[in-house]
Amino acid sequence: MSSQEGPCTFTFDGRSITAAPGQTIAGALHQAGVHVVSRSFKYHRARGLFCATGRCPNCLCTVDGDPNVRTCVTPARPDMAVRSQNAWPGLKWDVLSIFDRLHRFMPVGFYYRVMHKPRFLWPVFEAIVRRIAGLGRVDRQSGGRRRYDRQTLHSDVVVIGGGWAGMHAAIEASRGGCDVTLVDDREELGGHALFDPVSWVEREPEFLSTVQAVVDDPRIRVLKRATAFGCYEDRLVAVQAGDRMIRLRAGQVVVATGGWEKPLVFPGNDRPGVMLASGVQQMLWRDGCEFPGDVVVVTDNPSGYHAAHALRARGTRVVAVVDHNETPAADPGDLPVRTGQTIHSVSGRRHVTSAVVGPLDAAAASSESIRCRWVVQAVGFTTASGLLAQAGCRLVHDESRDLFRVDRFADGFRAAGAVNGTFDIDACAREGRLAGEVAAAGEGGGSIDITPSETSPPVRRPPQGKKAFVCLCEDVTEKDLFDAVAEGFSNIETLKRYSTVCMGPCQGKMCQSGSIDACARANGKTVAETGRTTARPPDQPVPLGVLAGRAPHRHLVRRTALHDWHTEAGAVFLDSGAWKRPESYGDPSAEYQVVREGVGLIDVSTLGKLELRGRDVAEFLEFVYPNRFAKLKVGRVRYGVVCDEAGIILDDGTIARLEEDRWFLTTTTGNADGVDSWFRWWLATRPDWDVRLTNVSGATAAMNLAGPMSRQVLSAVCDGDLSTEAVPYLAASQLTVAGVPAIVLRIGFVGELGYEIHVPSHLAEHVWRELMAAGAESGIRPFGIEAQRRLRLDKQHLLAGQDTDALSNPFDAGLPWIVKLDKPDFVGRSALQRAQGRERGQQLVGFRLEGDRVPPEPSLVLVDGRLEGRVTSARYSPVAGATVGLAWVPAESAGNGQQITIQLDGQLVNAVVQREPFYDPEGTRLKS
Amino acid sequence: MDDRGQQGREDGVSVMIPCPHCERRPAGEFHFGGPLRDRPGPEAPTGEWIAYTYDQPNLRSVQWEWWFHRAACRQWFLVRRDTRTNQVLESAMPGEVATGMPEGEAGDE
Ligand code: FES
Ligand SMILES: [Zn+2]
Repeated sequence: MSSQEGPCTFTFDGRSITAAPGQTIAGALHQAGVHVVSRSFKYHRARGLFCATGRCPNCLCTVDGDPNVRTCVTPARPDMAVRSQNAWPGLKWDVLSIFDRLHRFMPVGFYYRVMHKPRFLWPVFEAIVRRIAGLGRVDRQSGGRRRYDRQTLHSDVVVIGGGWAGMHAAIEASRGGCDVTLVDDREELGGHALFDPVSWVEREPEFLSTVQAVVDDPRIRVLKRATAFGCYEDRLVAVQAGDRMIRLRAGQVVVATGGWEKPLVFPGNDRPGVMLASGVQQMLWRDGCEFPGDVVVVTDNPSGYHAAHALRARGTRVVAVVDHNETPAADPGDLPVRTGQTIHSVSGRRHVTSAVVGPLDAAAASSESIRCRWVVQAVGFTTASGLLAQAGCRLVHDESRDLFRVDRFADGFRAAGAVNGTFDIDACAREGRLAGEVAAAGEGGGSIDITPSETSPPVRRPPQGKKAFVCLCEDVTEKDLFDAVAEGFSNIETLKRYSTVCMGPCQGKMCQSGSIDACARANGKTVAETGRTTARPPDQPVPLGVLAGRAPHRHLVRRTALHDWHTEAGAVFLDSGAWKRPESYGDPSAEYQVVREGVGLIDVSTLGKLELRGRDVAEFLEFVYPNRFAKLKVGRVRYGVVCDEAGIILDDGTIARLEEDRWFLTTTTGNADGVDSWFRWWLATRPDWDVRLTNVSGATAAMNLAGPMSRQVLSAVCDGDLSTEAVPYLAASQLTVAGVPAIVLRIGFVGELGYEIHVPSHLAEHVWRELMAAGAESGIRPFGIEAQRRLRLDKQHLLAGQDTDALSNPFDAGLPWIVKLDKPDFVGRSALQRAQGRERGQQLVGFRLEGDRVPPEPSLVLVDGRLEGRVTSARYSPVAGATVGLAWVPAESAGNGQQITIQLDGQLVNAVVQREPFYDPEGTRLKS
Repeated sequence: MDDRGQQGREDGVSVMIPCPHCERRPAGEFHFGGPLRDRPGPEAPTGEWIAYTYDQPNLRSVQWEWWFHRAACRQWFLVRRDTRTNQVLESAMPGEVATGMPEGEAGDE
């Protein structure tokens, strides 16, 4: 019972309902006389509580905006707003139930077959189908309120199911010295025992002490209200616990998930008032519900008698206990028993009004109609073996018990209790203990012998009638299945896909045994020959939010060593992958201008930085880059493009030779890890190469001092000679900057005299401050990546990943000079050789657009109205006095001075291709 | 080769990979690098290069394949795996495995 103190009220479709303490929503509705809680999926038939154990589709409602809540296992809380689903306009007068009467026009596959046909009408039909065939509605307002989370747990032994067998397994595994996690989806441990107290009267002390032993055991972690919904490889058990998804890694797994009561298939078996005995028991004992009126109980085992006694004790009049067996399955006392009989049909539209019972052979004339309000069925269990099947255990049909069970376990798995077809209390405990012992020894898995049951197999009831629902979720009748088999969908897997049986919210819990049975009969085969469909996760319904999770670790944030300085300087940050980078310090135009005219400083620490040492580095670089490096002199740096074997540009960066056998490489921010792993892979394929690669991306910070006055500023904090003779363009020098050993690369991404200064991260802020101080007189300013992007665009310097994509090779990207096909071998050589000979497709070119309107990326490039390219970068350029950018255009339009058409704000504008930089085409400023 | 988008991987695969440096770790920490194959020589016919570049063998068999422990030691190594059952059989350091050819022939279990 829940800890709630007094009664509470909530609303159901606007009506106020009072719930007793601890009652479920469904229990409260039942007590309030609400017996129709939903409408069925296809025919919109009235549906009431059926399983009352959270396994069927009937009680799904929208609760406080969350669709598809199983109200029979959800405790009522004050002020909940519960709404019925699938009913339009309302439950009582569901106009769509007309479909029920049109049944004969709606065969299996109806929506699919009929509504797909006149193609042009499909959008209309689709809108209707969406409205009528939906399963609740997502409330867009409430969706964002929830916080989902995830957790990873490890356990030596995981026991799934906290019933009698599971509790014993947990205790035994703990006794064997293991850490145990017991996962149970109910409020309280105990499983079925909780809801069939009649069979437990003499064992109550034993039951209570067992629960206590589990709870008190420090080595057993109990996860209550937690649903194991998937078993994945290497024993990863996926568990939903409320809004939390737990990834539970198990050394060994004991599955003690029990079983689900299986329904009989007979006409009217979906009418409100027809229920499963275990559900009735739960409602009696847990919810304190009553079932006023007369009841017919159909059974083939003692649990039906228990239910009948319990109902009678609560004031229900038992008018018949219909037992399939020739002799009563339990002591009938003074119950009105009819042996050797079964139920043939029920009548009543919105609720059962009578039941027809008679001999098992339907043809017999001696059947009789009995007036009743309730029909309760207790005809055995389907094993809840989905998780075992997912895990790779082999399930076979046990004829003697008429159920599927495991005869060969996946590695590390064991099962105990009803999921094995074991129902006897003492046998369950024995099996549980044994499974716990095996798990503690780490010996789960292997085959077991199935000993046939000593008692005679359950009596099979022949099929009945046509509107007998096998599948409540999808409204699939027995006749539908027979028709589908006749149409050729005779295999159980294809039958499932075609008829959608087992594909609804219950995922086969209610309908699997019935559908296999029907399929077997329709094909004239045995159940064993028919087999079952493949079990896939999730075994239980899971909200999508739980699967998506919050995953805090995914929101990784990386900050450079200079982050605090940027923050103090008022930087506006931009997310660049995980990195926080200053987009600007408030005025990107001024930042642009200062670099062109004076001097600016930008943090480029996010670049990937690799140091390579060894005798064979030059050979390695010759191999992984299409251009040449063997002859690069010590003290020089060169631009390079990394291509894959298909000749596609993966990344670009600079390669500096610091010493004969010591090289320093940079990569783009986004590809830092990718290039690192790419290079490491090639090194792994050639263990004979003497190359050691160290990723110094985090250890090294970098800043780019750029602008015509940058030499002057650097000189103030650097002792060496910085003249163009000593440190020319493309020099790679090792200098001392502000007292700190630095690698200084004279490169010019932004098109001005500039120095990329790499220093140890922990000294970066010191160097940065010294440079800012030294540049104060020259009017130095920090600049962000917005200014940098504008500056580089003036020079038509591409950004790998921004201006290139998964189809870009160096020839098309305007870098043909970088490919040295005369090298004997390098990564991508074969593909690039082929690409060179091929007719050019699209080319990456610069374009100039008069005026200051900037086409957003990726604006379309049109030729004669056809989409022929796209803009990858565009900005207004003060030096060009126009908007400039880069675009992919057809080869025919790629010549200097040619006109291209760009779509901008729905209009077509003309731009001119320019194949040389918009600024300083000779590069004199770079080299100055 | 791109590591972007790899971060979500830990949800997709639950199998444990035995890293020769770090021992058994969940597959989400790793990056799959495809089956171990011999790269054609520079003079190999174009057809061979095209097959190597664009065709993924994707065999139903036991194969040696590359794995990269991206979230920890950042080393590449080889794993022998049965692609039919997804069972990981063993791991090895690069250079310890001679041939790039899959062991068994494709066939049903
Ligand atoms: S009645 Fe609630 S799930 Fe079946
Ligand atoms: Zn590792």
